[in-house]
Amino acid sequence: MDDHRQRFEALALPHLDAAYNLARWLTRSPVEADDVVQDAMLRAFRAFDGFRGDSVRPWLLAIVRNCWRTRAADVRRRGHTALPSDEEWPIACDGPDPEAEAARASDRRRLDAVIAALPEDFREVLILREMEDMSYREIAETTGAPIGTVMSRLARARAMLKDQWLAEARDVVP
Amino acid sequence: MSCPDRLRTQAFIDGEVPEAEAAAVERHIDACADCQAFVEDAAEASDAIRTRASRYAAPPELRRRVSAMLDAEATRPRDLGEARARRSFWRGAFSGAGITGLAASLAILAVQPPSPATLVDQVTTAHTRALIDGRTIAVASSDHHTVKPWFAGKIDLSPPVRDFAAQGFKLTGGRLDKVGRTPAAVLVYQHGRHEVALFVWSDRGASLPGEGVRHGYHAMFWRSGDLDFAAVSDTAPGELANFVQLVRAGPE
Repeated sequence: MDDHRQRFEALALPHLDAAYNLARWLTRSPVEADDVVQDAMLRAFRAFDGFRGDSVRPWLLAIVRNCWRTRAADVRRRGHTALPSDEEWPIACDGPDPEAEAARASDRRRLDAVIAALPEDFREVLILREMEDMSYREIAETTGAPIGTVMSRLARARAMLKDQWLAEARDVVP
Repeated sequence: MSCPDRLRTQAFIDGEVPEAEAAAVERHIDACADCQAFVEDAAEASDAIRTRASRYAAPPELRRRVSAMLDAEATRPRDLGEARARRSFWRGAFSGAGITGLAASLAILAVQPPSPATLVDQVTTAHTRALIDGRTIAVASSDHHTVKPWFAGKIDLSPPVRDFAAQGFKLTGGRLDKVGRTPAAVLVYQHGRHEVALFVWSDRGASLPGEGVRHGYHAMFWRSGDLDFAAVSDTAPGELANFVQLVRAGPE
């Protein structure tokens, strides 16, 4: 394995799960997420020699995010409607389930649906903070937004999630 | 109307407020109903996502495809040419320092230290993950002559291993873990019904936080020689401080 490949393997590939998780939550589709991650890893690999930042993860996730944004813009420009928009995203509603296991699964599905329905700017900071444990500075690096914006979006996202989740729970519990 | 200090309150619960300002923020939260409500909501949202929402791992098939794609990319003749051209550019740019300079900058990249806030996250996360998975101990023994040699050959450092059973912290074993990407030796102690984990890793020049709290777990950090230490537990902060004192007072 050549040196460039080895370094990439050691420093960037450990973040493949984080890259995929972000892609899944941005695209809200396993198929799209696969494509975005492959595209992003290739671009990251080609750009890796020029990387001089603090840590690889925010840099890599920024590439994932850009790949998604470019792709989504292309699809919109071509007039396709393949990607679910925020309004179209269905809130799964299975109703109460007698089995505890199934109830937990449906709980997870409903929470996932609430997160997926948040507008993208808010969804991404929530994912980066709560699932990837990133600092404000790292989130700012990934999203290209100033730290102040990251903080207000995060506060807004948390409040939105709480409200939506409660509204959702009210609809389900008779 | 939401409190104008809400973002500072949020920074506090996210561990992003400097030590020196933490007490002032805490006093504010105690006095502000709006911020108290926000902390409750944010904690609820945070717990829900962390415990119940889906966190997707890359499917094995995708992992294989990415690997194969990188292999193909790495051996493409055109790119070898590009890489050579780039390298000679850098060689020129460093005027003689050339490859050495490039290698040095790569070494710095590889050991780039995490921020203090991230360290608190990484250590408490490692600790809680081990607790959840029930794999806090890989070598179970209260005998430091058993635990210390266990680390030899598994990690590039030899942690100071001592038992403080007489002082209420009984050595129960050890394991290997990671603080972020850095391999760490972990010693596990029992204190009453609480578990105390002592993380030890090679100093990478990171600035250590004094201490931090995440989700009810306290972490205290210090440096000794070329090793970094973190003690993590859900026991009372005063008890944890006693433990830290015991470890630091040792002959090691």
